[in-house]
Amino acid sequence: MGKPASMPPLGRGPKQGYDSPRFPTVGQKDVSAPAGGYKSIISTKNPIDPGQMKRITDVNQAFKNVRGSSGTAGDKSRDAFARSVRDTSSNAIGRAGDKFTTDYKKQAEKSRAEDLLAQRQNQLDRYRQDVFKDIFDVDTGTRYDEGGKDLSQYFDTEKKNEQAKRTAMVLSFIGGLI
Amino acid sequence: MFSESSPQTNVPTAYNTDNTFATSFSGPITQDARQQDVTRNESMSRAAFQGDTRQYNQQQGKGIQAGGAGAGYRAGVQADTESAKAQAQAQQDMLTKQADISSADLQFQERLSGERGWVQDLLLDRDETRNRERMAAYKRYADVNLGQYEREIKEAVAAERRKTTILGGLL
Repeated sequence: MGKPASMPPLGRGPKQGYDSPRFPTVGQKDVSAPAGGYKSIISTKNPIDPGQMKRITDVNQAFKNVRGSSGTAGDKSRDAFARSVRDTSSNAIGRAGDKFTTDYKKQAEKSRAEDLLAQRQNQLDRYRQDVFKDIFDVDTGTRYDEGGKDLSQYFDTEKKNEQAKRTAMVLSFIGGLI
Repeated sequence: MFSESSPQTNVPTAYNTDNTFATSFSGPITQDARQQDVTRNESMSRAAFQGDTRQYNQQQGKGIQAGGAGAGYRAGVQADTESAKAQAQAQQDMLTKQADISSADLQFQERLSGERGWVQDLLLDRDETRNRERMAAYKRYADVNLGQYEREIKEAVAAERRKTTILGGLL
């Protein structure tokens, strides 16, 4: 039988990020999203709708000239003054509302991203656990199969050895008779 | 499943649960909406009092010899200024109320989602622990079978050797 040929060269291991035909991937290849996809309970819609904002910015006028042209000049100037103050207040409240809405949406989008990121992290953890289990299964199965082959071969070799010894004894005995 | 003690004097509220994976936030916590309405109504009533009722009551005129027309006008403008402030404050109260509700909603959503994320993490840890136990059982099964097979092989090899020994004795 002679000495067996040398083992084949091992070569380089698989390169990260590429499929390897020599070493097919054990288990799933990538992280899968949960059924239905990633979902967040964090709403990023406008916290104050346009109708509400209109009601909020609808500031009452402090003084109205109800006597019309029969009133005094003072009534008219007070009306104009009150109107300008109302408009200024309305604008200021509108700006405050807009700032609140903007800040709210910035925060909501940030929080939603963090929520989704946490879910993705958990999916990645799950993927790691699943792949680890797949690797373990294949390793254990390979060790089991190869261990069985080792033992089987050990028996075959020992049996041949013993048979050879017995043959040699018989031949020696016959040789002695001759 | 959940229980909460009644707050006592200087005793912190206790929270108990026997569920490892339940969330604990109750819902958006907002200011008292009724109190906010009361505040706004007060602003509105102050505005109404300080505002144009004076026009109907003719207080812009001399009245009971309270001063000249200029003084009456200035008093009216002063009243209008105060009224306008209260009117604006009333609307500001509306914005504050709405902002408070929205902020409470968002905060609740953030905190609940955060807690859910942690709980999901706990569930994964639990599942991994369970799975490691099952994997150990799988490995143990393989080891037991291999050990049994090894013993049987060794016995078979020993039997072959005994055959050789017996033959040697015969010859």
